[in-house]
Amino acid sequence: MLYLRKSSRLIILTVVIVGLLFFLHFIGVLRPIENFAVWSSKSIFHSVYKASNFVSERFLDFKSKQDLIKENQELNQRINKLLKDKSSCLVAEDENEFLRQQLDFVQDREFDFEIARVIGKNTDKTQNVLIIDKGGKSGLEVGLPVLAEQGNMIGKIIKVRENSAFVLLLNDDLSRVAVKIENKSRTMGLMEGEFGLGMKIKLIPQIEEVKKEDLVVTSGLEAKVPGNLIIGSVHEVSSEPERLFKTASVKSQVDFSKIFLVNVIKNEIK
Amino acid sequence: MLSVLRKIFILTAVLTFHIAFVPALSAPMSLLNVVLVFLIFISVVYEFYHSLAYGLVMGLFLDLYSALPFGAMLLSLMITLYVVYKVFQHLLTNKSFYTLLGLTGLATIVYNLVLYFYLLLFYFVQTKDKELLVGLSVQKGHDFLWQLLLNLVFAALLFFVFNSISRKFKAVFIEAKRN
Repeated sequence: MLYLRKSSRLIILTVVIVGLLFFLHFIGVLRPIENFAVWSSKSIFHSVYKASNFVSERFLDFKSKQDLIKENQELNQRINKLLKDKSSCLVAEDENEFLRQQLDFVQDREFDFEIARVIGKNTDKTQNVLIIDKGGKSGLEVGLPVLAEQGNMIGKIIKVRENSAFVLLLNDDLSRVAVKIENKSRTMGLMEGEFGLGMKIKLIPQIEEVKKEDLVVTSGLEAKVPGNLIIGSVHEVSSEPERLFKTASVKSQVDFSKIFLVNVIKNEIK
Repeated sequence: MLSVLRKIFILTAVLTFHIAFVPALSAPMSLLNVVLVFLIFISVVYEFYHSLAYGLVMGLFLDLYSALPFGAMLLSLMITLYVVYKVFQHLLTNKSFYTLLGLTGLATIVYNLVLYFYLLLFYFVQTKDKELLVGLSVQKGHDFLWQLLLNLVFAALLFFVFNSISRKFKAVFIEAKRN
């Protein structure tokens, strides 16, 4: 009887504490403590996150022989293609420079940006989310695009705290970005994430000509996302004649699991 | 004072390992739930209220590093600990290796179920896409099996390490002398 009373007391106490925590969080009383906890932990988390990536890359990146052979073949093909591209590029470069000067065509775009460090990933292990060490204090807002070190867009901000923010990666199921394919007809579409594994542009009309390696960029139709930010390239196009639309899978040049620094585009200064 | 400092150190170490170290490992190792295994371990080895106190602080902290609405992690942990507590008190009698593994497995199931329903609700409200939810369920099912396996291995590892340095798990026998 005494034991039952003790266990009941414990459960009631827990429910009261949890309820109190919820209440204090939603009225904002806990905010200074929460901010302090995030502020004091983010440096150590960033260092440990980097160390973990190092360990993972060096000792735990298991790849089968078949995967390595396939990757090697793909890389060889890419090198050959790049060599061909380079030779044609050198010719085009001179021509381009000349034309630019002649037409006085200067693309003058500058962005106001914020560099942030990745301090971890979402703790619930359910969404593909990165946590960065800059937040509302640095002027970050929900919906701003986030670029990786290489300048490719990797996601958008979905939640902002005072000194940290959450970046939903493009490959998450909830991710939606208005994009444009750099083909002849400049196909517009909505790119969605696929279970954290890849990205797809759905509802492309059958008449649009989309090829492998076509560049995919942001369309600029979203309020906080400027146009022409590189996302990746078309990896595969699945088209069935009996269907009205086709789907293109998109491959990013960025390895989403190895990002340490990001660049948040705050707004465009023209 | 020393005991409080030790607890703070343990809390910090486990949280750092869970938030910053494990998620950056390659899949499927990134699915290991260090906090859950630690809490179950504490509730089996020590008193239940210890794990409850640790769970409250850790749940609160994990919510700061979760993109889900506030409380998702705290509630999932508390519900899991409650179920584990009830099973431990009413169905299991001793502190053994099998008890630890059984409870870790049960906790992983309960925790993932709670979080899964929370996530389904969250995604459904945002997308209203039933096909997406089916695909998500398949993916989460696959992740769950890996997490179950990893948690059990980690719990077993903790048991062996702890067993070699402490007598808390060792059985005590009555020695009968023959005259």
